[in-house]
Amino acid sequence: MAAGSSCAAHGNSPRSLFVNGEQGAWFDASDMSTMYQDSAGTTPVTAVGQPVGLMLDKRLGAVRGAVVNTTTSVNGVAIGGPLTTAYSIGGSITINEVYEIQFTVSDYAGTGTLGFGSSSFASANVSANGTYRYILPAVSTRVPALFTRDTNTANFSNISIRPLPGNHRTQATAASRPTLRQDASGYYYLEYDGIDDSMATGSVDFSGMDKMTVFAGINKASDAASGVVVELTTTSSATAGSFGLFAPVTAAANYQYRSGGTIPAVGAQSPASYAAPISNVLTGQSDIAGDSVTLRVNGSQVASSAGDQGTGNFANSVLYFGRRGGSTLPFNGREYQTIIRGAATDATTIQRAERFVGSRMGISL
Amino acid sequence: VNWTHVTIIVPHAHVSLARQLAAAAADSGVGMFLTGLSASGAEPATHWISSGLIQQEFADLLKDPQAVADLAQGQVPLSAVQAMLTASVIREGENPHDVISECGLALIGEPL
Repeated sequence: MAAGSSCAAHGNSPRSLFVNGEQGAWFDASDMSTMYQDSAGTTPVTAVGQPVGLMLDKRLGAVRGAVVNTTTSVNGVAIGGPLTTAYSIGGSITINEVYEIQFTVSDYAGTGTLGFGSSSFASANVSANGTYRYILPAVSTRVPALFTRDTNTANFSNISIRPLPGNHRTQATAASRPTLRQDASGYYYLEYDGIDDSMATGSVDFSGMDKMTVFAGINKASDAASGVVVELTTTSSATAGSFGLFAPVTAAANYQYRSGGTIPAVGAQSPASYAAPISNVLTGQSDIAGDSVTLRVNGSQVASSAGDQGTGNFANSVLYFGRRGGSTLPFNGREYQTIIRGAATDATTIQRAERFVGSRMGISL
Repeated sequence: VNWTHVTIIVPHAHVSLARQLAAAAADSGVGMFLTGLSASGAEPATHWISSGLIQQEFADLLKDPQAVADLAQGQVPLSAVQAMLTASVIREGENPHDVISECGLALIGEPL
């Protein structure tokens, strides 16, 4: 399969891992349509070499839902004056859910900024004619509004607010965004610099499950220090209901997948036979109640542990990519694909998913 | 958007100002200089680093102390900005790991 090509049907796609409503996420560096240069989704990624500030979770298809606002245009908005003048556009939103917001501004006149939100979303201000798009989580259940301030007038049209469900990940700090790259064989990946690059989702509710399957197609560039590929909670070392995939773990030519309930950080660590630079398809599986943690590399199990993980389920917490808690243990390498599935996964399905991940980075399994 | 890759290493004595000015420059400057460095790779941090793609206009700003000082809207004297920029290492287009090594520093690690 050529680099970046699409699967024809869900049956061959990681989306099939989520057809029964499984919690999780799928990030696909080969799909440029899911990436934006900024964390608010205003500027799409259009070429390699650009930073990725927002990456959409494809687990649910990254499909926009129906328009929720009831008013789609506001014409001749009056001068706002020094105080904000708000114009409700109706509809209801759900806190913490992500929406794609679009509107067109025309006949802008005056000074100062026009805004969108009215405490519904993070502030989004514009001061010129144009068509604008944002992808933002709702920060309240307040009815969205457009508003003017200072001394300006404008027409708003083509207003739409559409849910964009998924556990999307962001990085607000420009210098900490991974960069979209393409390797010598044409496969796309996100480059994490091993310094300060990382991304994070909002809270992902894994609290209803104690089984987890994690797939990652990576190239590890260095074995000099522990690197977080993905970790649930700010530290899997001490937080109940965490898991983590590391490349490497402590300065060595290895990998580790770990998991735990009330007893955290039960790890399955590979032999030190994967010296960087190296590309591998990694699969971590864990079962808290079953006291099982396994790690597969390129389709073969290389480590396992039956250590006691205690009790309980996984956490309702943030997924961190590239750094622990967004601050330490930076991953130095490439991320081609990452799939997190909050469920046990049978052997046949694991093999199919591993083949998919491998196909996106030139590894035949 | 025009992006350029910049590595900036700021001594600990100047990092509060660097963080303040980065945040004043742009919303996307919030969160810079939170990765610690030291000669041994152990705490405490003697320097702080940010490395990655930033907007070209932001990179250009770093070459103009007065423009940087203006970000603080009179709250920070020009001399403080000049001292911060003089004491910092600012490189465009270089491998950040090489820059860290050249400075005799190492990323501060954390027990797994």
